[in-house]
Amino acid sequence: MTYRSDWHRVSPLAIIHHGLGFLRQLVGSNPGPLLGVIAGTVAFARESPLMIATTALTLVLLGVVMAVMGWLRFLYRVHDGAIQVQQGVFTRHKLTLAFERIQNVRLERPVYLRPFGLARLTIESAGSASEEVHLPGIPLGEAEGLRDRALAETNAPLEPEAEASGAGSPGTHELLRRRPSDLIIYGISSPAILWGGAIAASLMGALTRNLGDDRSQEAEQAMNTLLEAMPGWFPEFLALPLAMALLLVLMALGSMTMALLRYQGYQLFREGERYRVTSGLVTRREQGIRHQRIQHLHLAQSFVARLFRRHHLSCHPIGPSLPDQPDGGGGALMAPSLTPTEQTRVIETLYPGLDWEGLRFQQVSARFMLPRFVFWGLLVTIAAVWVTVSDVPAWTLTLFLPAPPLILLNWRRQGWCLQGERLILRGGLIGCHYTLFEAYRVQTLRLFQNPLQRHAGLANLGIRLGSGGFRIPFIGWETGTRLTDQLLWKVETSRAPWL
Amino acid sequence: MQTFFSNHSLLPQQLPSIEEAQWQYLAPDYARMVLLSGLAFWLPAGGAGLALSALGVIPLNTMLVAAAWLVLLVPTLLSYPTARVKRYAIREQDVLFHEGLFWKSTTVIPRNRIQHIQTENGPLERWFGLVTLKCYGAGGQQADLVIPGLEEALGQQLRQYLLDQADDTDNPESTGGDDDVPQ
Repeated sequence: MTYRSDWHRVSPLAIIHHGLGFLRQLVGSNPGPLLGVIAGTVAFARESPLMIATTALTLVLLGVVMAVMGWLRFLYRVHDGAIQVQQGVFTRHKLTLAFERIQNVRLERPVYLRPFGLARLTIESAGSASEEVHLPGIPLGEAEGLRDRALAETNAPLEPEAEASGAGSPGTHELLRRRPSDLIIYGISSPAILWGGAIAASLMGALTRNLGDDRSQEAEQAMNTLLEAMPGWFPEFLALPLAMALLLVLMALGSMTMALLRYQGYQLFREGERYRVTSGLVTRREQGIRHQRIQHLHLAQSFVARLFRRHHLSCHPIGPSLPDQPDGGGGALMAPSLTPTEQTRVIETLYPGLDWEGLRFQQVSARFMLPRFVFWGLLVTIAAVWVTVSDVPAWTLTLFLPAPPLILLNWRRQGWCLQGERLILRGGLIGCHYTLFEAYRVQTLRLFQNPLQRHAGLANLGIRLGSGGFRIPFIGWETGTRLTDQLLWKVETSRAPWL
Repeated sequence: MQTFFSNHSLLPQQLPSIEEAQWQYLAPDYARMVLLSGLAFWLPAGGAGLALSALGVIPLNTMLVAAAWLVLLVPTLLSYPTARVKRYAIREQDVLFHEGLFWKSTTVIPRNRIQHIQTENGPLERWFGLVTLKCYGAGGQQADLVIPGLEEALGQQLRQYLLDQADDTDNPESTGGDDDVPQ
């Protein structure tokens, strides 16, 4: 073993981090087999409790030994402009990550580390997830030092076109702060709750269908006991909508709590060429990214967010585009629920000179709606046939009425705009999404068309950046090829560092 | 639709267009190989399906299975013309690949965005003396551009040529690419 004095160990508290991670993986990824094992164990425990107890004890001891061994074998050091990590109990892995290749840095202070002045540092490179460095449980001062070094290391001579607007003023400058009211709006307008609502609605639908079915006596009985438990003055027909509303409110509350936990005390700073975000109630989290590393900017708006006229902004570095996860995964830098003025201000800082209000978007062809109309038309036909042959009430067909205006709206939302060096894509349904990036960040372009599109002289343009892929659908073939040529010209003549 | 680039100082007509690229077709053996591998799957799969349904192992009508088998012959045979239309172009600054019989697509990867290049050949490809060239950009899991069916020597030559160019991106002054690419 190459144990040298400059190799450091993390704090033994890191075992908690690994244990939590292991549990989350065990429960989160696939609870089915785990439940099976538990059920089997419980059944078996009646037969021979002693054996189960010894097995469990052995497993726990083995887990503890493994965790301690893992901690003993986990070493890191800073050497030769790189962070080196070696780990692994049976198979040793050694990872060297040069400071100049670091894409973004995350510093977290979970509750169990805070009293000891410790922090957790995550460092991501442009490569895959296996090239991530996690240092759970190192002294806060050291973590901050590493973070500063990772974010400060610049390949300065290679940056002739770096868009430093506020260069020369490395002082910290607060860009944005979120109050709890903003976070509550973020909570109720984030897409998770909409999916939750959809799932709840379908569950309720299944339940009501089963109620009419005499096979599911139990469900009916349960429902009856529930109805009997309600006060007499309560009208029965209100029970179902009320239950759904209650569920939605509960989910909204859950979502708001999550948003508050995750983003409480949110502050976005600009320090010279880098951005830094601090947030979090239980786990204090600090995330940093260098300006040059931002590949694209995304502005998302669900229909609830549209009611509040808010957009959720995220800056994406290179790497597979992961959603912003509550447990801190995903490399994107978030700025939740921005008002139009805040949005303009943040965009102006990130992309100086972009006249956000004055952007003129190019529409895509109206044939964009054709496949969508065909799809919904087929669904309506199937539903109509179903209504005629079975006893499904005819009014269910009216549920399809919102589809045509929504398709029209979806088409109207599609658009793109090339302004100088920047390409801005627009999309969305009721809310409006934007994706913004510099043309020289493009990595691959793909112009493709189906037979009908070819007949109509149309094509789709797929654009892939290091941070994800986007599509401009249904543009004229001529426009598509010229846009491709234009983008290629910008990429191939650009000397700006794009990674 | 209104044309878009009118306000830019550089006239769009002056830009080199992807439509004027000089396309190179893949080795003729590639189409044969694709057809052969398709048939090599189609024949035993159908045979097995027919045998199983005739023996009553799978509860399907034998005629139905035979019909499905014949229908599946169409995409298998179509793989031949599909392979024939695939083509690539190596330009000074980028690599292009065109494919698709009905659903057509043209992919472009600028050479200064290629992170690494790889050539692969499976057993069947080795038998035909062919290689697949894969170009990877940054941040993705899969290859951004894949050119199959290159004759082995040409594939290695292309790989070396593109690698040299990729190294040159660190030094923008160098013009790069004085290797000869057999056109």
